[in-house]
Amino acid sequence: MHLERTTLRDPQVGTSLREFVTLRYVEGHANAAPVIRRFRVQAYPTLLVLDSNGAEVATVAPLEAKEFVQELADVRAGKGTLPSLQAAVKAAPQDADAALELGGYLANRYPEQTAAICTQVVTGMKAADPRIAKALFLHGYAESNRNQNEKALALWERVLVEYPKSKAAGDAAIFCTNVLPLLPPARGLAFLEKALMRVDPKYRRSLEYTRGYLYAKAAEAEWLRRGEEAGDEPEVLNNVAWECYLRTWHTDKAVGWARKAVELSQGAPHMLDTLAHLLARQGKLAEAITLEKEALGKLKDDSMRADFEEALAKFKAVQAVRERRTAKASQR
Amino acid sequence: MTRTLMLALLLTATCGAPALAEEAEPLAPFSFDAVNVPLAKVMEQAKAEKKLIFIDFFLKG
Repeated sequence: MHLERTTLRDPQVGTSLREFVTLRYVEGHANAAPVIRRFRVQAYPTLLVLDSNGAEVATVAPLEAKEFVQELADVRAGKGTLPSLQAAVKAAPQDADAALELGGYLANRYPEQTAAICTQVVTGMKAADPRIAKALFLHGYAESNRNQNEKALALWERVLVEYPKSKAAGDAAIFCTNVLPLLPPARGLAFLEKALMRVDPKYRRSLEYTRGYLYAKAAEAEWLRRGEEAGDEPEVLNNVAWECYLRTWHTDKAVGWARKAVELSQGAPHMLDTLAHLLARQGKLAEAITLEKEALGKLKDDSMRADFEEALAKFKAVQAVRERRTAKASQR
Repeated sequence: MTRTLMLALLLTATCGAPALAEEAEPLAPFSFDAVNVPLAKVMEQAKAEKKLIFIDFFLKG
């Protein structure tokens, strides 16, 4: 959309594009599908340049007008194009820089080729060569593009541990934040503990933010596990159900645990209160009100009375609003 | 006439009329030569004009 609103409105861009036959494929159109498949287009917008035989020449980044015009000029001059990168590798197969340039080009749509290139580069290098860091990062990026997130993380971990001062370590610190939420929180946290010890301070903030997110996910997973392993212990079931209520986690499961807690405790008031809250969240207000009344009736200790009365009043108020809405809707 | 329409007309005049357009885009700031046209057909045009093909893969909405 950005391209539509800005870059393509620029007259210089229009002039530059006159040097090409310009074609747009709208995702979902029957004629677009085979081309999208052939060039493995996954993101929009993707801008590709082909030769008149339909072979890929270059990808163009959707940049601001000035850079975009320059990029189109470079493509026409054969700079940074796929054929030029392939020719450079063919001319000097041992040139790691040329190989990594090609690997970088291919990483988004042909990640398996990038992975193979990077593996070869790393294998042929001495451990002290700083380009290993770049190759490892790029390999990890390619793996993440084919959903091999655990592999990606392992490669980025190597970059962060073995080459902490490299630019690649910074790149790994940024890109890992996309992958970490997709893995089990414990795995992500183990990675982050290592990374945070070594990474340049300027990358700490995004890693710390991700660590906070993963701790929250880990806590959720831990409560869920406790609920599933609670067996016939009503207090545990009730505690987990209440925590789920407070944090809006897994309401349906929590209702099941709360019901079981009520049943096992033969209607302990604080457990009836938990179940009532969860049912109210599900919109089952009549049942919630009945249970909260029952909880109040069974209370022997006045310390919770005010809270229960407040909850009951809240459920009744919400129910009244709903009834008014239903009545209005039926009058229409 | 809005400023956008004026610019669109100006750019259409600059860039030439769409040769293979299947769907007209009157208010677009830039007119593509072809929209959703089979690639083989566009390749013929590129060969005839000795040009490269620029493709914008676009997601509507």
